[in-house]
Order: sequence, then C-alpha cells, then structure tokens
Amino acid sequence: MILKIEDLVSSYGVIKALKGVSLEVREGELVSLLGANGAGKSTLLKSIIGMVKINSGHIRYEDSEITGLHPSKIINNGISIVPEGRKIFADMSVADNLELGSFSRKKDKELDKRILETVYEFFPRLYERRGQMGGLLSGGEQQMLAIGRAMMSNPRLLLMDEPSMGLAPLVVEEVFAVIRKLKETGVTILLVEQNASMALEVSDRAYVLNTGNIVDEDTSENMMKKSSLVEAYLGGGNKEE
Amino acid sequence: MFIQQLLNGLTMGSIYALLAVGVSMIYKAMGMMNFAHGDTIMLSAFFCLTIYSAGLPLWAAILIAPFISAALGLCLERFVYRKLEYGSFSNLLIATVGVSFIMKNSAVGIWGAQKHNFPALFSMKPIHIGSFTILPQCIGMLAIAAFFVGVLQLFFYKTKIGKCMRAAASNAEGATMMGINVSFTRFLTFGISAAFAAVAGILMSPIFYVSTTMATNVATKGFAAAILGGFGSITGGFVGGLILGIIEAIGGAYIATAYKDVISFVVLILVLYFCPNGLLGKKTEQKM
Repeated sequence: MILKIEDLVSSYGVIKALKGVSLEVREGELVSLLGANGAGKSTLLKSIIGMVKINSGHIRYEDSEITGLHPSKIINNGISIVPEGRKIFADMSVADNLELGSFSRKKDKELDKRILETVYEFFPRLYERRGQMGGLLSGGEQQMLAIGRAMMSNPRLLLMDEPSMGLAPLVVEEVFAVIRKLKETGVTILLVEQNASMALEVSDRAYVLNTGNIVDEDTSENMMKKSSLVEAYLGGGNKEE
Repeated sequence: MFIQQLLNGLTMGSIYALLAVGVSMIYKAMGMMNFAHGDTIMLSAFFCLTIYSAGLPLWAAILIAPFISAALGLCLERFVYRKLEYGSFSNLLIATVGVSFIMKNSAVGIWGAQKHNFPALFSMKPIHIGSFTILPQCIGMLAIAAFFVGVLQLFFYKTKIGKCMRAAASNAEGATMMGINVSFTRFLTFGISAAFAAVAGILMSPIFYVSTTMATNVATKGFAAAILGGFGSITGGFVGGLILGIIEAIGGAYIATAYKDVISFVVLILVLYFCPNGLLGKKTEQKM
C-alpha cells in the first residue's frame, strides 16, 4: 500500500471540509477522486501534503505516518503534486521551473539529466520554450510545465489536482494522453478531476467524494456504468460526447 | 560640466541603488513595503561606529556591522512580521512604521540625537581624468554597490537556495508544493536585505555623518529608485538608483539645487506615467 488514509477530518477555518475520509492507493495504481465543486477533493490532496490542518485521522505513506508533517518533509519523501491552477513560477524560465521540481530530492546529476530528457520528450514544446518565462506560456503549456515540474522530483506517488481545468478540449485530450503515459512509466497516481468521464477512462479505481464524505468506491469500469450516480454528484457538465 | 555632474550623481546613486535593492527584495518576497529599512541603515551605521569606538580597527567594524544588522533583520522577521499574517498589506505596513519608530527612538536613547563623525573610507585626493575630477569615493562606492548587487544577482540566479527564494517570491503556494520551506526563504530574505542596509549605512556615514535622522530622506529616495527601476527587480533597483542619483545631480546643477528633490520625483511620476511597471519591471501573469 503506497497511500492509506483513515478517518481523515480536516477543516478550512471553521468549515469542516473532510468529515472522516478513508481511501487507499496501491502501488502502480491510477485512482481517480471525483466529486462536484466544493466536495473537498483539493482539501484532501492538500491534507496529504500537509498544507491543511488535520483535525483527526491518519495518513500513511509507504507504511510511515506522515500526518501533520511540514509540507517540505512530505514532498521530500517521494510525493509530488501538480497543483490546481498549475501554480507555476511565472517570472522564472521554463528550465528554472523544471529544475525547481527536482530540488525536493537529493541532487543526482545523472538522474536530473535522464528525467529532464523524459520531460522534454513528453513535452517537446517545453524544450522549444525552455528559455522563456513560465508566465508567457499558454494555459495548456503551463499545465504541461506543472506536470513536468512534478515529474522532476522522480515521484513514487503523483497527486494531480484538476489537470484539465480551464483547458480547451483538444488540450484536455493531450493532458490525459500524458497521464496515460505517466501511468505506463510505473508511477502511482491519485487524480482529482471534475471531468469524470475522462478520469474514469484512464483510471483503475475511483472514489466519489460528496461534501466531505466518500459516498462511493468502485473500479472505474463499474463506476462508468453508474451514470446516474455520476450525474447526481458531478452535475450534468461532464457527459461524454 | 554635464559629465562632471553625471559622475557626482553616481555617488548618491550608488547609495540609492543599494537601498532600492534592499526594499525591492522584501517587496518581492513578501509583498510588503518595509518602511523601517532606512532605520536599519541608520542603526547599522551606529553599530559600525560603536564597534570602531570600542577600539577595534575600522575594517573589523565594517565587516562585523552587516552581520549584526542581518541578525536584527532576522529577529524582526521571526518575532514581528511573521506573527502578522503575510498577505495583509496594511497590517504589515503599519508594523514596519511602528518598528521604524522603535528603532529611531531607541537610537536616540542610546546614542543621543547629535551627529557623530565617521572616519573617511576613501582618500579625499581627487583624481583628474582629462578635464574632469573624480573623488575616489565616487568610484569606490559605485564599485562596492555594483559588486554587492552583482553577487546578489548571482546568488538569486545560480544557487539552489537563491532559486528557491525566487520561486517562493513568485508563487508562495506553488513553492510550498515543491517542498520549499517558504517561511525560511522569507526569513533569509530579511537577513540579506538588512545586510544590504548595513553596506549602504556604512558607505553613507562619512558623507552624512552618523545620526538618527541620517537615512530619513535617503530611504524615501530608495523607494523612489526601486519604483523607478521596477519594484521587485534587482537589476531594476540598481539601475533606478543610479538614474535617480544622476537626475538629482544634473537637475540640481542646471535648474536649482533647492528643487533637486522635486525634479527627481517629477521624473519618477513621468516614468510611471509611460511605463507603469517601472523601467525594467516586467509583468507576467499566470493564465487560468
């Protein structure tokens, strides 16, 4: 078990965002976490990396307790995140942005070079624009940069927060193609998405989060058949074409 | 005459440049205007003078003072500003004003309100180049300012910790998510900024004497220089400082010395009118 969350309760100020969430991610799996806006998906990811105050419950990563640790300790452990809204460093070059992703692990020139090659192979446009400021990239390119930056730390567990948000349909396709390729490289992924149909297509299993509670858990294949449930919790905006 | 004034302007310009870089760094990293920066300059000068008066050689005093100032900056960050939530612009602003008062009044209490002499750092023998004369202090101050700004630039662009500091300043949440300890990078930013204040304070002392009000006017000019060059940019602050110094000297010589402050602020307003982000300021936005 690479990630095991038990009875997690966290709050944003006075609002209880998670009301006892339990969830598991196994080595090599791609698990999607679905839910409407405000269901607590992002809060869950932020809780895992220590950016949200945890009231009670446990988070275990590779059998060690990481509940309540400082984010810098958790990120150093082989977890990395593609943040919601990308959060790239707009006034730093693409190459610097990528390099920053590698700082959380021990310096290893060989590994740096190898991963950087993979990132540029995944995203040739980042290579072309490596000298440009991150803020000058298009929305889709910034998303690629955020993914590449997260790859640089050579994570064992990759958390992705709404990677398709605000992107044109064609770019969304591209992002999901990358997610599929990442899964093939063997990295374990926990994917938070509002685009349920796309997420279910790439993932092995899925959880549905509704106002702070897990309301369903199943293989992605089965989940796709429960279209009524998907519609009920995710709204009508994510139907397949 | 014109070139002569230009050279004169570089002397004050170097001071403004060091100040501008100091306030710019803090603004960039924490989004706060540090109105206590001028007082850190003043205190640094007193630290240096006190160490020297205690019998240590001048060079030792000059080397030690910046470290004391850096320590002071670190304490202020740790025990004052960090306690107020970063992001509340008005709270931080008022806090720096309060800190400024505390520093100034403590200095009056400890060292008195009179002016103290400070030994000359450079030879007073003018150097003649063709028809121009330059005081060694002009060259010396410019060289020192350029050296420190250059080192700072290398630090920010070439070292790991420097890059982390830039990332934290650029997007604090994104930096935290990369495993960067943002409160530590902010802490460090304050220390470096205070050390820069010390360099400026020591360079100013022989010209302005050491007193509790020695940096009051200069600090305002430092902010003006930072805004002129582009607030938040290191090179912008440096260039802005030098330009402000030159404008002042030339304006003072050709129009009227009494108006030299007015002239520099008129130029500042004009520059902001045409390039709102300052001369070297860039605006890059995160796309959603």
